[in-house]
Amino acid sequence: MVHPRIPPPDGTPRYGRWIASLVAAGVAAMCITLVFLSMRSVMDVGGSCASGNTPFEIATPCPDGTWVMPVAIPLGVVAAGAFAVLAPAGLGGLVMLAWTGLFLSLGWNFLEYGVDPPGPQDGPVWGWVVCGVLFVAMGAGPLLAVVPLARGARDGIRLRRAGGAEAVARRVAAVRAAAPPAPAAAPGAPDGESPRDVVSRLERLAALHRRGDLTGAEYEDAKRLVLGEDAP
Amino acid sequence: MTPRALRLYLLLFAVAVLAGAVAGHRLYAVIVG
Repeated sequence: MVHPRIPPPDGTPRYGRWIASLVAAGVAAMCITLVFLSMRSVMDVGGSCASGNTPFEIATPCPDGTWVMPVAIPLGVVAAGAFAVLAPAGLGGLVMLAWTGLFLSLGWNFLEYGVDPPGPQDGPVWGWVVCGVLFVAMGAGPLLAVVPLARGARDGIRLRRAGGAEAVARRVAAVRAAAPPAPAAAPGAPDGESPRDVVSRLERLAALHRRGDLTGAEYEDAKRLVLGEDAP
Repeated sequence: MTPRALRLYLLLFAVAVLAGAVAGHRLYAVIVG
């Protein structure tokens, strides 16, 4: 017997988007790392450099790999944007961690090189220390926004658990209403269903339970519904 | 998203970020020789 197609529950993962969003997160992390390392190479030579075809005499040529920074920044922005779009519902806010990671890592560079500058310079370089403090403040700020995000996810799970039995009952009722009537009801089967209908629905519920889409309580409630008993 | 799926996604997210950071280090080492 062909059952009407049950729409997937809201939480059903879409693995294609999962993979794409995780790849985007990895590329964004790679870009932040490249910017971090590229910045350190420039700070190793004093914090400024020049290269290319210029009429001026270049005092400090840029080290190898400096070009990585202007490439990695836009690529990282695109990757972070792609993650925000592709992430599962409610998790797009994790993209704020890219901002935090970028500014905390660059702030660390400023502080480390500001306290202990390379080369013959002595003592703290206050310009870099101030930049470091500012960058750390800018990076740590959005972490405060992640806390409500995590609370929201936790509350969402609780709400889903509380409303899960009702949602499952609605889905089961919809399937039962949409199913064509069985030609001959077996004695003892509720609502004129054939035993095969009941068995196939019980199997489907058991599969949902095994997969983790239904909690134990939701599963028991839905099973009682299918068997024609009164749900609480 | 079920609690199990949420936990799995966050775990994979952490793995992806770590893998990206490692890849960034290796790529930079290749670039600068």
